[in-house]
Amino acid sequence: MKKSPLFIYTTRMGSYYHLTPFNQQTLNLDTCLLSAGDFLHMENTLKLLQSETNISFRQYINQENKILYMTSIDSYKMKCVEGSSNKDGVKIAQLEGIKPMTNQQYIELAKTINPEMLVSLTEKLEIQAGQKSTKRSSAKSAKFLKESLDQLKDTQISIYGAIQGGLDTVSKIIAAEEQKFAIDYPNFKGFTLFGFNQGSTWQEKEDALSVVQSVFDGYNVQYILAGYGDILSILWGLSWGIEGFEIEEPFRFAQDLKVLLPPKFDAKDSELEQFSDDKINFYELEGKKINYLNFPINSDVKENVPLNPECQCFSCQNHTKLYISHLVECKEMNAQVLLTIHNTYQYQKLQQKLQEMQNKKQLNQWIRWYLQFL
Amino acid sequence: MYNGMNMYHTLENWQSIKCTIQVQQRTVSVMLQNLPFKDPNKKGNPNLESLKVKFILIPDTYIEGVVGQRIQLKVYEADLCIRFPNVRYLSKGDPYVTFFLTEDMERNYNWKIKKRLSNIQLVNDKFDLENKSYCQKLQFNKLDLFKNQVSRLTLFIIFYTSVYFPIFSTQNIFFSNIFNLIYHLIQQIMQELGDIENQPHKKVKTNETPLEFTVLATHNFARASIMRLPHGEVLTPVYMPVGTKGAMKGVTYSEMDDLGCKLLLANTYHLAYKPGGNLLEKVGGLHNFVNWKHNILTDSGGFQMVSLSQLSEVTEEGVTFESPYDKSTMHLRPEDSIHTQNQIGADIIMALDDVVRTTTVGPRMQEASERTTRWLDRDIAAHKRKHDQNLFPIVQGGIDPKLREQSLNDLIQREANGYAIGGLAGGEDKVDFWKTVAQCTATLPVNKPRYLMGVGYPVDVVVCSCLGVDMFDCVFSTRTARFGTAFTDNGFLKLKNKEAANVFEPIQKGCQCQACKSYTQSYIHYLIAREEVACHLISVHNLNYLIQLMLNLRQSIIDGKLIEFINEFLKKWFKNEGQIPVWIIEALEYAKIPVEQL
Repeated sequence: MKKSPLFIYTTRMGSYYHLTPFNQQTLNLDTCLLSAGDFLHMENTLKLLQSETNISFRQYINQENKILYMTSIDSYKMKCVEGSSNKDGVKIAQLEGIKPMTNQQYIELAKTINPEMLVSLTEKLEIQAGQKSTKRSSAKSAKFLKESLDQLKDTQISIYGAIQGGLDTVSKIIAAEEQKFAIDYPNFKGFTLFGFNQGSTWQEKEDALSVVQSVFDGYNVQYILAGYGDILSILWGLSWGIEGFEIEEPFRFAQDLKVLLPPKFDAKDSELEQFSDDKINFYELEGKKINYLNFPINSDVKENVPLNPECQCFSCQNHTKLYISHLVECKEMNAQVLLTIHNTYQYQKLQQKLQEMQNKKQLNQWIRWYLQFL
Repeated sequence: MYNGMNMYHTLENWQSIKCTIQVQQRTVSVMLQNLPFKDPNKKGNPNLESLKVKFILIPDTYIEGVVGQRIQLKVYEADLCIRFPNVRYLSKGDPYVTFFLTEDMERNYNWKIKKRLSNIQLVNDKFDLENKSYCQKLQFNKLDLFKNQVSRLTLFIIFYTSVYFPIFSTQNIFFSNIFNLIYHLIQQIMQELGDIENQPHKKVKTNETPLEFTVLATHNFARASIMRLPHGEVLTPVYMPVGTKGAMKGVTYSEMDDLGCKLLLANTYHLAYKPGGNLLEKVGGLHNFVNWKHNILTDSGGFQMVSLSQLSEVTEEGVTFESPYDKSTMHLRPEDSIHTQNQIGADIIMALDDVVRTTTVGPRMQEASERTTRWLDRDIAAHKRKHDQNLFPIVQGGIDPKLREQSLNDLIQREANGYAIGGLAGGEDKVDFWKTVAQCTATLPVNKPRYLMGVGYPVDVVVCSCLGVDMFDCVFSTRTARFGTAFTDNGFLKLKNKEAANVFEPIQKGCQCQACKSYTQSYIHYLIAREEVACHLISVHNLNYLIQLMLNLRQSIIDGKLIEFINEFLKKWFKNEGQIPVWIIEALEYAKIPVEQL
């Protein structure tokens, strides 16, 4: 992984939600999550693009010089992958509805897209899936992973397996063991961990992660956390050795007319010294939450101030809470644009700070310091 | 016009070239003196295209003499004085500076800059003439400059030369370097002054009119002009995008700025409800509220009242209607509309008019037209910000020439700063449409801008520009974008159509908007169905298309090539249809623009 932590921002067909290229300028977004379902119906077009033009896929989606991360499951899109009795594929949500897709199609699409990182095809289990379904699903995921590793070995694509199984430790171990063979492949880099979204306790998450890591203890395996990419999960995951995070929270919050108001990130060394450098324990996260503001707010002239006076993002430097609230009340889509810019900027600042703290080997101390304010 | 400057030269004994840089209300006077711009050994006029730089002196002074001669120069009102070294100054300070003319030019000079106002500071005052680099940084104390309401920043540069130095010679490295340095200096000053425009307490001087309209070139009725408003210059003819509720749908104000938009619309009817006139007044007006540093025009709310509301009654007093927001009963009098527009603080505001459907005939149209004039007088009386807001009356009368004439005469008597042509683009026959426009533009004062309300189809704005209209507005560009339709030279392009799926070209070749620079028709076609940013991109494209169309049309008037421009435009636009509608040909014929049928 090029840098840790890696924040992988979700997109729709390669376009960031609510952001035109102009509005992205201040954000320096360098990653792009592409979900397969966005492109499957474009098979003919993509073939023509390759065969009849000099336009690369990256140019086509205007994401040159970005790290492309291709996956079948995208948390921002509801129910994008379903299980299928077909051993060779899954069902994926496309423009025309839920349709079957084979792993072969998925691999061919990956060759066209040529991402830096590819999560092997997997199916999302139903919440109440029984043991049999879980085992079948794990076996399928493992099969898909092997096929991806074999067929893409001559490309530059780094392959990541998909560990499903929700937070059930047994299911997680099964999934991990099924895919352990991948370690011997040079183009295998690690796993994307699914099922860690909100709604479960931190202890459950910790247990689930621990069992997966125990399977691969001693091996050089990278972990990416699939899901919303909420800040607490990032802090927890990074502390536990997860290096990459799928991010859709800034966009989801903006879509829901919420603005992130995280505490300041800067701490003095003297403030960090008092904290332990051990991994963050689950109980340290209980009851913590990131502050945010819901729009609309009261139309009071006192609110004619930035979202955060100290924030350097475009939205805070150029607009006020009052104006954004007005946009929300008038149902103007620019509200989401400005909120997206602000929210994404917070993530970028967080990422910078986490990288800095990792380099200074003060990561866990800093996380503990930061958790005080949540 | 060169690089945004008005430029002319006067021929006198000592030859000079003078130009003026307009930065909002700041004027930088530029004059180069005592340099012959015409080589006496060559015939013909000098090639002014080679003058890419601005050179500065103060006005009303000149230098004349021969090499070695002692020259005395009187300085007037110079805010900043740049002087060359190796010049003997026989007197110090104002008002005279004396130096010798010399032939010694090609050196590496250290420029000395003498400030005249305390609010100008100088940092790193070194020029590297040899390397042609400008490392001078001027820092203005912006707030003081603003507080003093400096409306005229005059730079004074003295430099010396021998007589009859051929400044246009390509071998004239010295002057090339000088010009480059001065050019950069001017650019930097313009940049600094441009930044000043962000100051919230900008005000127009009370003794200045809030609108100046200068016609630069004409082709019969068509005009290329500059309209100076409190928040800057607007080149006309111009298309004004509509930001109904204080926002362009899906396009931020920064993107509008990036497109070069200098004047856009907001809607009083909607803003009066949310966020409300009182709130806008408290925060310093709509400009501050939305952070838009250029010009705004607000309409009166009359049209929306009629088109969006359940209308109860129109009386001489005003209009009673049902608010579409909360179903409450609202009353709108001319005084109320003007009061709200005063609170919004737009640069151009519209008089409340009695709006009826264009196709209305009979007594109701006459009643509406006459009432509009009476309401205008009430609008004028209620208008409290005549010093920085321009009230435009609206010519009414439907398509009845007599009613129009009456309305025109009544409104012209009120001597407004500009006029709007209302009551059209409401489904009337196109012949009636253009003839009514032509009647209005033929009668309205030539030295005032004309605003045709609600017209924004590319063909319509082109034709009406030829008939003498200067300003247009319409929501069509962004509304149709949200349905996936883009403007191109060849007409409307429906990007939702499956034909676009495999077109790997931009919406419009050569277009510099972010949509065309970043994406193909194919990608946008697929994205439309999935993510609303596609509609934002098409909106940006359509707005850019219209803004550039107007700029190009305007330039063709200046270049004397309007006929070619119009014919080229129509040939492409109607290529698929195979023929140009007759009404267009007739309208353009009236405007003395012959059009070749396809």
